[in-house]
Amino acid sequence: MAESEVFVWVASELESRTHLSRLEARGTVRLVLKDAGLDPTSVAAYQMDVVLKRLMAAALSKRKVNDAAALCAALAQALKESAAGSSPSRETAYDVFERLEGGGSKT
Amino acid sequence: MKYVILIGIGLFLLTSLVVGTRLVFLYLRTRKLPELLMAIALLCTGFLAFAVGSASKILIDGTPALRSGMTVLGLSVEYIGDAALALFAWRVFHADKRWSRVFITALAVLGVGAFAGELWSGEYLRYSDPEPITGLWVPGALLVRGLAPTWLAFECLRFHAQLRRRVRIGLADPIVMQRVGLWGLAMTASAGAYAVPIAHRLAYGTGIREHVWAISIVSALAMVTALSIGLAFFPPRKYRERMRSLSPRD
Repeated sequence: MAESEVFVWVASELESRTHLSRLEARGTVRLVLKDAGLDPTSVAAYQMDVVLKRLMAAALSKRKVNDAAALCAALAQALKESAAGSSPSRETAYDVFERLEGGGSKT
Repeated sequence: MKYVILIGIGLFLLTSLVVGTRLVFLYLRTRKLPELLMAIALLCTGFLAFAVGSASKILIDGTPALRSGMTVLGLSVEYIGDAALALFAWRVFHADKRWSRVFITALAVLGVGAFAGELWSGEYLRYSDPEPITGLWVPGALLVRGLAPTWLAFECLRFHAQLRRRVRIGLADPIVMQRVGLWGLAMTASAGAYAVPIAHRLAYGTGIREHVWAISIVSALAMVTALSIGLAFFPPRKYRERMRSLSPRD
């Protein structure tokens, strides 16, 4: 199963902006996403934005990446402006269960 | 005891009917497949199959042909509902994965095979009479029909664990997280309601109505299913507020 465009974009940016190898960059993003309860195959841009702002910096610091907080803020900004950040997200299991209620507020 | 058993099963029938009907209306608004599939599953397996099956066992004291027809009708409806449940699990959690297409095809083949086997062997009549089974078609078919709720229970509970982590960073609504957990609990109880008659058939050869303890367990599981689905679909205001308080504050 292929990873989402957002996952590929962030892993590739980490690889090019840090000393991490391709394998290390992808592995780091995978682990952080798992911690956040997210799946690399379906992670959406708005979810990656939160992950970059709240979880990624700590994970990168552990891997001796310099100024991880600033790097994550820059990545979050760049993601918003990238094609990956604006790609339409498909319906997820979360969207379905959000609708499954008697009030029917989510349509 | 009889009344307690009836309350559990009655609550299950009522919840399936009400939530299933509400899901039909939700589908008419959204035109999204998952709500239609879950509506079919609840109305067929939860309400119609149970109602027709019970009628063929309890209310119909008529000709064998009538009882046989009712049993086939009830079973057909139950297989349709189970198929809808399996399709829901596939469509919601794994629609774009190759292994899931193989898995759902295998489930369909097993379902058709189990139903054909029950009809061919004549063992389907054992659902509506007190005769013991002579082969393994009935427990085998019950096992096949129990696969759909078992699969959906596994997927919901796995997704619930993921959502618990998402709630901590503000990426999921606690009410949705809890709703997924409740559907997981409902499907676990539903799978258990298949496991009890399988074990009973293997041990005694007859249906669960031969033993009060067996029908009591199924009734309790039906009650758990009904209450879980009811709470997931119609969360009371206080429960909603308590769930909202789990959201991160920043």
